[in-house]
Amino acid sequence: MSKSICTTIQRELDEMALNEDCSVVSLEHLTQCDECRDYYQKQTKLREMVGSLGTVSAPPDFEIRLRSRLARDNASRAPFINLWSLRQQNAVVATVLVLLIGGAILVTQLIKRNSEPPRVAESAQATTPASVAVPKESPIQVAVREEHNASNVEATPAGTLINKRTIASTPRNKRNTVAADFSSLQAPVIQGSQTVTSSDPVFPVDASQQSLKVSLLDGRGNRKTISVPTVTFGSQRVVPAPTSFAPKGVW
Amino acid sequence: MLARTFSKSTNCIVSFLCLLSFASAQQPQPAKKPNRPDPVVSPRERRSAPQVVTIVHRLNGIKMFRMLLRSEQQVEAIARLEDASNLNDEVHANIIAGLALDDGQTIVAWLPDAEAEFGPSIFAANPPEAEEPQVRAPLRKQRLKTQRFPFSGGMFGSADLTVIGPDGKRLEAEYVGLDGVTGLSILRLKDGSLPHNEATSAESVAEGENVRLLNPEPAARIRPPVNGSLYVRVGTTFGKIHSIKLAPDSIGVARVKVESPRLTLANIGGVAVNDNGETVGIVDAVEGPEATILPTAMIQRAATRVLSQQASVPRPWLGVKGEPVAHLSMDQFKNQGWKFEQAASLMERQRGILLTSIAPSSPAAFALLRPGDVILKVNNQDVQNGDDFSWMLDEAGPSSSVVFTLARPGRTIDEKVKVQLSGLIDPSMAFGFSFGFSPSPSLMAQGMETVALQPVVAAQLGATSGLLIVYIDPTSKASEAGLQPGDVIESIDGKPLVATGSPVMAAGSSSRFEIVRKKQKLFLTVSPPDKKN
Repeated sequence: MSKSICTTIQRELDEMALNEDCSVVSLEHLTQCDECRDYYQKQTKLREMVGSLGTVSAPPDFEIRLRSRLARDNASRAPFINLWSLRQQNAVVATVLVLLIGGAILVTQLIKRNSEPPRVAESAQATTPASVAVPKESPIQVAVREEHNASNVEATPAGTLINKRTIASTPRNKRNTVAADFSSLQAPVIQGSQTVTSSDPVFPVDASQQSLKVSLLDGRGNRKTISVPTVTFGSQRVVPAPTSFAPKGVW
Repeated sequence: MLARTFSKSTNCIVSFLCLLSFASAQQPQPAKKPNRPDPVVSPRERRSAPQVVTIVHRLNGIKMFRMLLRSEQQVEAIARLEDASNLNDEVHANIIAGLALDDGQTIVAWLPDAEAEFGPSIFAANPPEAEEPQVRAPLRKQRLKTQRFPFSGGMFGSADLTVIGPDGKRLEAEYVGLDGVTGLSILRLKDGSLPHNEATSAESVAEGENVRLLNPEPAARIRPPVNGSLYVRVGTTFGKIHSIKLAPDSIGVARVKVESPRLTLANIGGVAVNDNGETVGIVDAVEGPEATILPTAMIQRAATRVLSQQASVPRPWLGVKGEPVAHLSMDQFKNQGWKFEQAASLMERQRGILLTSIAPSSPAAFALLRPGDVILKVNNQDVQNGDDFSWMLDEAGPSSSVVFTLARPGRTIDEKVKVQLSGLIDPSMAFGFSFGFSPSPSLMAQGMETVALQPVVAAQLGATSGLLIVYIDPTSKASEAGLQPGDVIESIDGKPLVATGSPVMAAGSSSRFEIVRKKQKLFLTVSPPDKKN
């Protein structure tokens, strides 16, 4: 697969909005290129996560407070400049020169840094990119793949600012099945002991549509309503019980 | 003047240049190419683990009632039921990892809701029928044989278990039994088999070795195909082997401890594999960042125990509660009748189990063990801690005889006592545990578990009032008469039932049950249970 095509496709994926469809060329490319498909999935997941945070509305007096703050800052800065310009004209000239030189140095440094490839992206390329189950593998995975793409297209958030360096990998060991607010959490970073794979097969499981909701009388006239979840994962018992198969300190 | 101005300007320039260089030093340096490779191992470098399967264990409404009755909830009656259209419909599914053994037919898993599939006798203590012993001798006369539990399957014929292979292939499985020692459930595939796996168990484990814990998890970002359904994949948690605990008799590994910052309780039941995809074991406990793994040798033994009997196998039951001596204070010894010098000597030795409670009618009670006794040795092997003690009893097995070396308060010489162990699935049941509901004693004797219905709920099921049957022993006379789980018993011999305590069955004679099944009224005659039962 040509690297330049991948770069172009990935750029398109970067610029794609939440509800925007991929171009036909890109879609075709995604079915053939594991790396770009992996990139696309990670991008989509990140956008979904950012998109799920929702918008924060400004307080009602925000505009007034902003304007007054700007006015106060301007008022406090003006006398300082005047005083400065009156008493230290020569120094001002020198300062301007220094700033110009300094600015030039900084710009040069920035240009140099940007010309080097991103480190994380490099490491992501160095490690073999994870592959995703492709349609030809099995009928189940075909359905999953198609559904996956459809849902991604529908759910990709628009207008999100994404740092490309953080999207090389995203956490997959997500255990909570309930909605959670991630806004106050640090962005997850993959460490040496963890990695992300998206090559695991995904399969559908039919779960009950009917959840059990029952009110129980406890014998003291109290009523308690219990709603049983339709699905649980792992060793979590559906209802807590006072017994266990191997209690500590009992033989 | 010009010179002064120039000098000032020069000073300013120099100062600014210094500041600039300092500021520049604070800027992040441009990224350099790493000299060594990224420590993250590529997923492709790790071998897949085809022996890890996903198990879907489904429970219907009646089984869920049973789980509720056995939960911490206090239940006198069901006051309201949102949808009572069909209690035999599935209402819950538990999705957990399973380990396919090398034959491709046997699956081992840590099913959390396995209890829903058993009859009550598997949980209740089954003490010998002998009277309270006066001396140690009657032990020989008591019937403490290995119990063969009558329920190898579920209460509705069989458990609803689906095994999903690594390729997405679905196979139905039957429940063979529960291993009381490990808490593992053993399943067998009904039709078909998984790909034959050879030598999927790790031959050895080493501290510092990488381990992957595989558990099914929801693939949350994929839209469900239909209402109520979901996508699942096998998730991975990475960790390292932190320590290996050898068995007391050094014949193998007793437990493997794995460290990972990402561990949660959801990892319990997960299958641990190494980088080669070989099985290390099944996670049976998680505490903070540490998971305890039941090694493959113990899993194999559990499967062998259950498969050889084709039924659940209890764990050895002694009938004691106790604390390892190493964890005890002097006050705790004094509370059990120990004098200072003796207690100090025991505490110095740092071994043994101090017994704090003896279950009535238990093997320990029949062997005249008492609270305050310290078990120092089992069959002449030192007992260092609780894990050692469990291991030694498990090795001995249910219905076996073991010799304890005891230190007793007020005695200067250690005593040897022979004890005949029994078997029990859940030892905690023997210490006064009671269900959150009050089962009707007379109906329990008939092999039935019931729960009272408030009139509103009874009306939803087509009855005026009564008791809902949530379990029925398939070998009982009631089952023989045709009673089924889901039936509502309105009256027995014409006496209406309103609470679990109300039914009264005439002893020694048949009873006429008026029941409602699928909103149809039926009358069934139930014979009295055989006396031998």
